[in-house]
Order: sequence, then structure tokens, then C-alpha cells
Amino acid sequence: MKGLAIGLLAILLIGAATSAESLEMAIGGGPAAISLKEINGSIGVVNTVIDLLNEAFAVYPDFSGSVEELDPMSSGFTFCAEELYRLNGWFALGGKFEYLRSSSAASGEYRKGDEVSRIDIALGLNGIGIVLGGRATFLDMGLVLAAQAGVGYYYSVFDRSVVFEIPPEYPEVISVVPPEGVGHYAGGTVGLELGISLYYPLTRWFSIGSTVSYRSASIDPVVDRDGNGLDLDGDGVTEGLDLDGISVRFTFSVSFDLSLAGEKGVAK
Amino acid sequence: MRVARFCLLIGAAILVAVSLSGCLMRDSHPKALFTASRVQKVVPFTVSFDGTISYKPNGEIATYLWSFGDGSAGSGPVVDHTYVEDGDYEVRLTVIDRRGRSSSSTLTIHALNPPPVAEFSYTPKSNMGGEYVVGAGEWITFDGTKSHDDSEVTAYDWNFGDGTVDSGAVVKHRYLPVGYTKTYNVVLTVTDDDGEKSTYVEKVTIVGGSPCGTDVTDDISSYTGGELE
Repeated sequence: MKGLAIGLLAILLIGAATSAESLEMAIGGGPAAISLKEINGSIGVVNTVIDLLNEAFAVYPDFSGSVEELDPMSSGFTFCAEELYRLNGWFALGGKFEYLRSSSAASGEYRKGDEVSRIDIALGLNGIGIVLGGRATFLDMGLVLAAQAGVGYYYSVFDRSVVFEIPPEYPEVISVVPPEGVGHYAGGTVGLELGISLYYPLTRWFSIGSTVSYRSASIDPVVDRDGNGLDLDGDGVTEGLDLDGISVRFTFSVSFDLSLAGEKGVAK
Repeated sequence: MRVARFCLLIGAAILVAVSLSGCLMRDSHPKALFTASRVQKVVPFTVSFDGTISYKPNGEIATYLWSFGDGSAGSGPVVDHTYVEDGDYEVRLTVIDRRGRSSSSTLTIHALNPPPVAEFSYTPKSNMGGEYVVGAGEWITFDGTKSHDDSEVTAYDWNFGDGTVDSGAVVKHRYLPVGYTKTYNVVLTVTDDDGEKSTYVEKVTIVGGSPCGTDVTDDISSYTGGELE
């Protein structure tokens, strides 16, 4: 089924390429907001445990030190390379490659004499997406306004490195403690992307602009090489990667005239 | 065509706006989290559970439900529970927020079996100068029925310190004359229905030989349950 869909899209793109008026290539990047709601929920739990330990050892005799909290992984940056075939004055078909990254880290220690208990947590999300879709231009009055939509395949890797040493003097037992160790969890899914672009042609063939797009893709489960799911907070429930979010990209684009009768370097 | 484009633009704008609002909404699922004052002890013992540390990103938790793993349950953010039977118990806290969303967390409590208590007495014995003695060659009844356990003592193993052993709650034994007064360490090891063992040692002084000589057979400080002598 996937092969059929890819084949049909390839035929569509080849058809678009052969009948296109112009080819537009763009690169850009910018900040991204990512939902990652299950991951951020787990980060909240980990921060709760860290708070608990900080409060306990702030007043515990002979102990010093504290551990900083993890920032939620709700922001990152995105990079994009795009290729669009303009079929007529207002509609274009094409595809793009998108890279997405977000990370969070925290560290600290509790010290009692020579006895040191360390907490080091480093989390990272690296994702790529191949999106095929179209763009419709609504307004072209020097400043160009367009809407775009596409369907894509998103593949992400989540890296986890956790050292979580609770001093043995801690008087209670906590029901949820982040499991220690290093893990690489990966998974892929089909997603959807919608957006609005605003760009300004500086010359007949070069434009600058910005795009605000919404991405909807949820990878669940993500697993390591042994097939184990990601359980960041240690509550026994695995977390998925909810990549839903907004990307704001600032782009540079060049266009090439593909029409047989056209001039070279015609602006959009 | 212009109307169609305009409708498409409005539709796209609405989609993006809805997407933006959806994206900005944080997940507000609660997550159950609690501490236990201890997770392992010999029964009976009481554990204090505190669920107030549960993760509640958006508002308060309306309900805290506890299942203590031994068939009993409770509610409230902080609860105490006493375990009277040995075993492993999975304690579960379920928190429910005001929107009805719930989460659970578990912790295993190891309630340990108390070991049996070994104890015995013996007859006959005579008080000679403040010390109890038994005559050599005399049959002695060793009674271990005072030993007890929270459940049941299943085995009584005796080591009389003269190279002989026996088993049973009540046993008879006599020490052969050696020509002088000799003290033996008599060891009773009892085993309960969970396999836990406990040992009790008492000195038995045998007279019948030379009244001047007295000898304690063994140092029991390093006794580990094997035969003495």
C-alpha cells in the first residue's frame, strides 16, 4: 500500500515536473514548537522527584548541593529544503525535507563529605520528515500569500542518558524513579502538515519569505534496538513522540523557468 | 475562481488557527506519584504513604485511591496502612483530577516473615550450689514445645553437644559418664512453615565423674547451625 502511494506520488511529481511552468527551490529554518506531551508529562514527573530530593537534602544534616530541573521539550528548531513545481499561476506541487531538533538537560549532585550522588539527565529529539504536497497562492500583489498542505513520513530518534543516584540517606521510597542508562529510541509515522507562507520576490528569480506551518504526527511507540519502549520517568508506561507543533521558517528561494517558450530566471 | 481561492484561504487560516490553539494547549494529565516510609520490614508494621507529590500540571487532584495489595483499600492524599501477614504486596495509588482523567503508580512492599522463636527446657535437673546439674547416665527430657512462631513450627532439630543429634518437639537423651563434670552446649534449631530458622543454645552440666574437673565443651560464639563437638 505504501509502495503504491509512493509510486502514485512519484508519477504525480514527474507529471508535475514535465508540465510545470517553473521550478522553485527553497531553504530555510527557524524556531519550532513541539507538543511532545507524553515526554513533557514525564519531564514534569522527573522534576517533581528532583524537587522532592532538593527539598529533603536542603535541610538534611551534612548535605550540600542541589539538582536543576529539566526544561520542557516544547521548543526546538527546524531546517527545511523544499522543491516546488508551479503548474499554473496559483498552484504548485512538490516536496520537502524537514529536520527537527529539540533537547533538554539537567545535572547536579548531593554531597556529604566524600560521598557524592549525581543526577545527570540529557534528552534529545532528532526528527526528519519527507513531505509531499501542494501550495496555492491566494494573493500576489508584490507580497505573495499562499497556503500549503502536505502529507509526509516522519522518522524520529529520541536519545536518553540518565544517571539518577538518590543518596541512601533519603528516608523514604519514591514510587517512580527515572531508570538509569543510555537509550536510543526510534520510530516513524505518516503525518500531515498545513501552513501559510508570506514571501516577497526581491528579483524575478529570488525571493525571501516566511512560513508558519502546523505539523501533525504522532509516533507511538518508539523502541530501542531490543524492542523496548521509552519509559522516561519509570512509571511503567511507555511514552510516544507527539510531534504536533508549529514551525516558523524564514526561507530563501530561487525559481527557474521551465516553460519551453519562457525566459530564463522568471520570477514567481 | 476568486471566491474558491478566498474560501480556501479562509479554510487554511482556520485550520492553522485551530492547529495553533491545539498545539499551545499543554497536556494536563495528572501522574500518580507517592512515597512510602518503608518498603521492607518484619510484620507487623505500619507504612505511611504520601500521594501529595503526584504530578498535577493543571489544577488539583480530586481523588486519591489506594489499594494496599492485601485486599484493603483507602482514600486520601496521605494514608497509613499496617501489614500483619508476610508476603509481597503491590500498593497502587490512582489519582483522578477534576476532569476525570486518571493515572496510577505502584510500589511493592515486602512484608517479611518473622522468624520462629526457639526455646526449650529440660528435666530432671538438680540445683547444686546455684548451678543446675544432671547426673551422668540419667535420661533427660528436652522439651522444645515452648518454641513458637506466628504460624507454625514445623521442625525441631537437636544437637546435644556430645556428637549426637535428634529431632522432634520433645526428645530424650542421656550423657555417658566421662569421669568428671562436663558442660555441654545443647542447641535447638526450629524451623517454621516458611523455612525460617531460629536457634537456642543452653548449657547442660553433667556430673558423675570427678567433682573437681569442669570443662565447657565448645565456644558457641561461631556456631552456625551445624553439629557441635
